[in-house]
Amino acid sequence: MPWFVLIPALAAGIGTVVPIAYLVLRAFDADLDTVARLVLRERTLHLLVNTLSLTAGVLVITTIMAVPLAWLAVRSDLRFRRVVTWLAVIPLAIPGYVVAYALIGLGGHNGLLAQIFDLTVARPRGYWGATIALSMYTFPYLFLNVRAALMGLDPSLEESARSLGLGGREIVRRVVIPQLRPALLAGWLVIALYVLGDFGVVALMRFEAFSYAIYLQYSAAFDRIYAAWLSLMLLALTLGIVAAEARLLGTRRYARIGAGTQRAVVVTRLGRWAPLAHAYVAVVLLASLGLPIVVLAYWLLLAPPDAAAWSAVGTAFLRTASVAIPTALLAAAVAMPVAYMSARVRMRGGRVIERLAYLGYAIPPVSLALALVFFALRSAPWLYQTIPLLIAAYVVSFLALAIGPIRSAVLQVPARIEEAATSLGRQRFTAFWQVIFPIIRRPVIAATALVLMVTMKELPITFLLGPTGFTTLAVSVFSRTSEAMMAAAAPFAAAIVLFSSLFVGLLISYEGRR
Amino acid sequence: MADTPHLPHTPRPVVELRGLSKAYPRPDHVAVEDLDLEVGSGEVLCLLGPSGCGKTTLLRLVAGFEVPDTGTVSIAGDLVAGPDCWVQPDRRRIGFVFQDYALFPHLSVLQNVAFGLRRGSRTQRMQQAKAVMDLVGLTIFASRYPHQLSGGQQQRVALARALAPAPAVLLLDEPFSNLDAALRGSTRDEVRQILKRTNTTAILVTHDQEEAMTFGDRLAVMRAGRLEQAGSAESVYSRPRTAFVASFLGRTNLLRGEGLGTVAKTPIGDLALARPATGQVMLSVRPESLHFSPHGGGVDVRVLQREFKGHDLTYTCQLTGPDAVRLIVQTGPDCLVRVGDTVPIAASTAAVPLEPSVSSAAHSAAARRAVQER
Repeated sequence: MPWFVLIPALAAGIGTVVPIAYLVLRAFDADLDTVARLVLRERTLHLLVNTLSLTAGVLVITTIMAVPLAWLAVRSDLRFRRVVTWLAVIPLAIPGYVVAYALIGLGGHNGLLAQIFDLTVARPRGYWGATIALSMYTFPYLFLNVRAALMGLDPSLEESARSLGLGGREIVRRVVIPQLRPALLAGWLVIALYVLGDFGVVALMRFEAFSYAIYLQYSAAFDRIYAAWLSLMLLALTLGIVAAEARLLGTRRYARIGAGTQRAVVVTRLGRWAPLAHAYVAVVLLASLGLPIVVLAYWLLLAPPDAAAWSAVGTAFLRTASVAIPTALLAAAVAMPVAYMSARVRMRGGRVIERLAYLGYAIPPVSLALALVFFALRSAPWLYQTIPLLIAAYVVSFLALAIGPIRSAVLQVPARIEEAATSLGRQRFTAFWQVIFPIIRRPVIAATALVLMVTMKELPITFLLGPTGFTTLAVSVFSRTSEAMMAAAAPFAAAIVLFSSLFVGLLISYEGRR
Repeated sequence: MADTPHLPHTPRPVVELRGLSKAYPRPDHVAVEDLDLEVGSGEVLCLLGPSGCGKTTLLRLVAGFEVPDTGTVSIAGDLVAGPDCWVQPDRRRIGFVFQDYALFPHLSVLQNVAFGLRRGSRTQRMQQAKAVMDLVGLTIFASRYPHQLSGGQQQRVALARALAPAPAVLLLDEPFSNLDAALRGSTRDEVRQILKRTNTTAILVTHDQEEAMTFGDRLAVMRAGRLEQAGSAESVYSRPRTAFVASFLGRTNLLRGEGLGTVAKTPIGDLALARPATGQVMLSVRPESLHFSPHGGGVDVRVLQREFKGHDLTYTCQLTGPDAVRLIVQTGPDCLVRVGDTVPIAASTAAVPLEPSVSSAAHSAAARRAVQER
């Protein structure tokens, strides 16, 4: 394996393995009796039930939101389908804690409803608050997956089913839904990972899921062994869900088999259902996109921030960018060799390192941050609460996001291209740099932008690992919201939403041009 | 090999393969086995064989894209692969033309051609590249990008790119197979002329027997990882060494006979032999060696099928005797023999006695497949 692949790949692998190892080490600091007493108690079961029911609730609500929307946007004669598609993706830019902020800002004595409509509603808290907030911003993941699958559905399969005597409803059940299965599973997996890893929403909604409990143990109770155990349990739960998805997906083939080009999708006429469909679309988009924007605008107008407030936003923005930019560049730099290796070098090690990178993405951020705190305190105190450790944690957490697009781009470049370069006197590294890199440049830029955007809104890792007083935009929104300082939080939240929507728009148009 | 003609080239071969073997672990499959081959300076060698015979692997072993299990590879007198020796492909001074061309999509035609030129100033390199493009007739496309060119033009860019650094040997992996039939012939002639004009040593891999016979100075027939026969197209065609070579390169009639020195007893009578043989022997008799002799002196056959091909006629016949052997006979286009006729046939040239194949395993199956493929 060439050095320029080996070194970054090993770094990526170590970056994932070390935190988990430290978590295990810390967890077994206590003797077995203590461990048994800590783990086998009713509270653990309570947390497990809470976390699972939160996940299930979010999956149900996102499915109700995303699947009909995707069908309408792809297969119906709904008006403004392009705009609807665009608007359904934008909520990706609104972090969960901002949605939670919006829901909280809606109710209460001086909330939006009370002030404008004289309607005092209790501030949403707990299970329902968390479920709704998480659904609002995660449903685009399912929407995008199902939409892509619907667009890829071969109309001739449905036509053959009809020619074999199946009716409309039977075709949906026996042909369409089975083919949507991989997309549904993939979307559900991403959403479940978000729910398990989410910290901002459950913390603001005060809902006792695993990640919030871990944070409470760590910050308030200072029981680090129990925090380590909770982290390991959450990690096990996450891996269990990943394994379950892989098992459900199985090894069946879903791609179109055989020759011939696929025809364009057939559009269903909505007819008298059109008003209902439009109303449905309006409700989904108003809830997911309109609500946060209206609440943010309300608080911004109610107490317009002064110059000092805006300059604080500017400082926080620059501070956030100062860690997000190096993170994005480093993640892309590490992702390229890892993606190259997994696509090209036929070695068992290649797959292992790639899996480790995906594991890094699956580790709940709170667990990862906690593990790195343990690591720094025990083995490298000079790294504790430093910017380099923070950036390393981001890279471990988001590397997989960068690997995905780069890997599929490398796979599309025939291996002959590198062989041609080597036959013309280039060594492997030069061949990669002069021939492969220019071809995959666009996906690499897209991957870098994606990591940049995700890092800009990251909360739990920054919160636990950042240097004291390192208040990024996300931390500012979170700390002000948790103290019910809604107006003070608004400009920071607005900055995040503005910045992220810009990036999401950029990424969508970038994808389109490829 | 007994019938390899003397090469009119320098004594020192440019490419020398000795005892070369390569097996792939998955699926357990020997691609190249104990193979010896030499290519002289300025010589164009065509490697011919059915798909899966290991010819592309052989080319990739020479290029250094694959590592041999055993044996040695020398290029221009330098050992580049062998026990305790491995030279990376970028240091081997080879040029490679890929089946799908593998042009760099992000570079213009000129930049593609100049890619392998690394010495001299930028201006010098561009001039060199332009000179090569002139040679292949691409000058007007210099600033275009690969996707803006037709298949034949891309083919020539690939050739120019490989030729530009003046490689010791040019390796071509089925370079014409992606061109349509009309373009293939003319491109082949052009490429051959360019190779000859530049006195380039080249190895071309193909499964097209016509291409192998017309393109190369010499051809080498491979089967199941081994070299069956090498030599000029004429010598291999007229004196095939094995039944596989005889039936893969052109069509032939395989007859059992009993050798009696310079003649052999066969179901179609006593035939003169091209090489002396005694005992049970397999003979190759080309369809054009047989003719109908209505004025007696032959064995009777019944005509089963008559195919008119313009410049000639191909008959499928069956012996009327107890053997019922089927024979293919090729005649001029004005032969009057019809389906259902019974006519005597005779051989006009000597039959070639065949040796058992080097790789006798799955022999007949491969030969049959090779015949069917055409």
